[in-house]
Amino acid sequence: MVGGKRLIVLIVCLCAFVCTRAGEWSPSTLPSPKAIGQEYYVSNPDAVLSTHTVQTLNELCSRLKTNTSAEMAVVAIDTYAPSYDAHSVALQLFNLWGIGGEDRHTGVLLFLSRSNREIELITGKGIEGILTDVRCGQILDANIAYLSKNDFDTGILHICENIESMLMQDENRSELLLGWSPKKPAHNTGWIVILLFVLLVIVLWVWTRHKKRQGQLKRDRNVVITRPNRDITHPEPWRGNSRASSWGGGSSAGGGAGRKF
Amino acid sequence: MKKGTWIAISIVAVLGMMGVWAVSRYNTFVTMQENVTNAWGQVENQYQRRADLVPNLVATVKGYASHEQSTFTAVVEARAKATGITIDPSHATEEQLAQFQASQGELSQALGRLMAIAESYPELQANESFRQLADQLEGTENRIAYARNVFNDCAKEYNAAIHRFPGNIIAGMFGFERKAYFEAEAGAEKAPRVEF
Repeated sequence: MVGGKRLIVLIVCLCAFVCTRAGEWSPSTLPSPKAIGQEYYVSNPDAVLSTHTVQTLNELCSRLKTNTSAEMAVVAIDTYAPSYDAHSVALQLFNLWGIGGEDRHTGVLLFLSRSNREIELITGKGIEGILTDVRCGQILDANIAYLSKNDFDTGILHICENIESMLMQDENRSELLLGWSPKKPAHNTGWIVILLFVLLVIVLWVWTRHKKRQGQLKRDRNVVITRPNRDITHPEPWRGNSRASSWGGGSSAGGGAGRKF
Repeated sequence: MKKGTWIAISIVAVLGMMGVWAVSRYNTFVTMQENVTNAWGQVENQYQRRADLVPNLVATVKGYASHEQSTFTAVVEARAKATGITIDPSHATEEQLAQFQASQGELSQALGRLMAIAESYPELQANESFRQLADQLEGTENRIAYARNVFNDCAKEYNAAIHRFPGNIIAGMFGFERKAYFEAEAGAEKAPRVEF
């Protein structure tokens, strides 16, 4: 079973490697930043953006989500598979990942393809009223000069800052936050689960010691003691990870704007 | 209990289960039918949105390229033809949908020619209101493509469900009919682009 899982991981890595080598990404092969952690929002598999920019963008997106509930993702690649165009890759990726809340659809995706010289801004269904197609186009136009000069770091950063300042405007922020209650970060929930589990193990250990003294449950002793012990020394992967490493579940109907540069 | 009673209870139980299954299938078909209707509503909304953009777009381009009268006339006529066709999704036939698709296709082509003209006028491309209209048009074209895909998916799912055995028995009994869906046009796999 373990061998099978390793084989699957190996095949997936191999596929990703082949795609990376070929430099042609498709929505299904692009790596989601959420695979690393909940606080990551930037997919930069071809190192189009610098490490510092990626870090700044992650902080910006994280701040945006906390302050407005809007979930923004940034994807910067070299090129995509020839059977796609920039819009179809970006839109499919948006809906595949599910950027933005499942019930509110307040997601934004900024997609850049360096070699194709294309940039796409895709908006979720719930944010189209704020980030209209026209506004998206204006934001891209205002920063297209940076991209034309191959200054992708500045261009992408400025576009994201423009989006943030637009969404942070009082009336837009109020609209986005209407009826939204921030969820506690998933890792907090995970720690509570772990704490409860440790407490359970201690209680079981004390209880079995007590029973042992009384000379009872001789057959059950090993089972009860070994289970918690095994879990402590070889903890299973934290279940919260699978939930934490996901986007909100939002979708887009194709709104936004795109530009060639 | 007598053997006959057991048989009677068994028959009633089987009939009851069949009844529950039939009601369940019926409700599923009704839900799917509503999904198709709803998806069609989205398609119509987006086409209407595009049609609403046309007068402003034509007026803006006219301000810079007034001598391209034949193109403007073609766009206006295609718009009138496209908005003149309305379809009831619950009774739409393949022919009606094909006619609708053809008329919308004509408008797409006419708009394509209009945008091609715009490319020859740098002042027009620099015009802010034209850029905004072009962005809206591009966004609407993208939404149309998305809405059509959603509609096709809903219709195909519904069609498969009502033709699959044994669901087709319930579908036949209650008159659930096959839904028409959009056929792919040449080059329709990618939404038309409006570029500057």
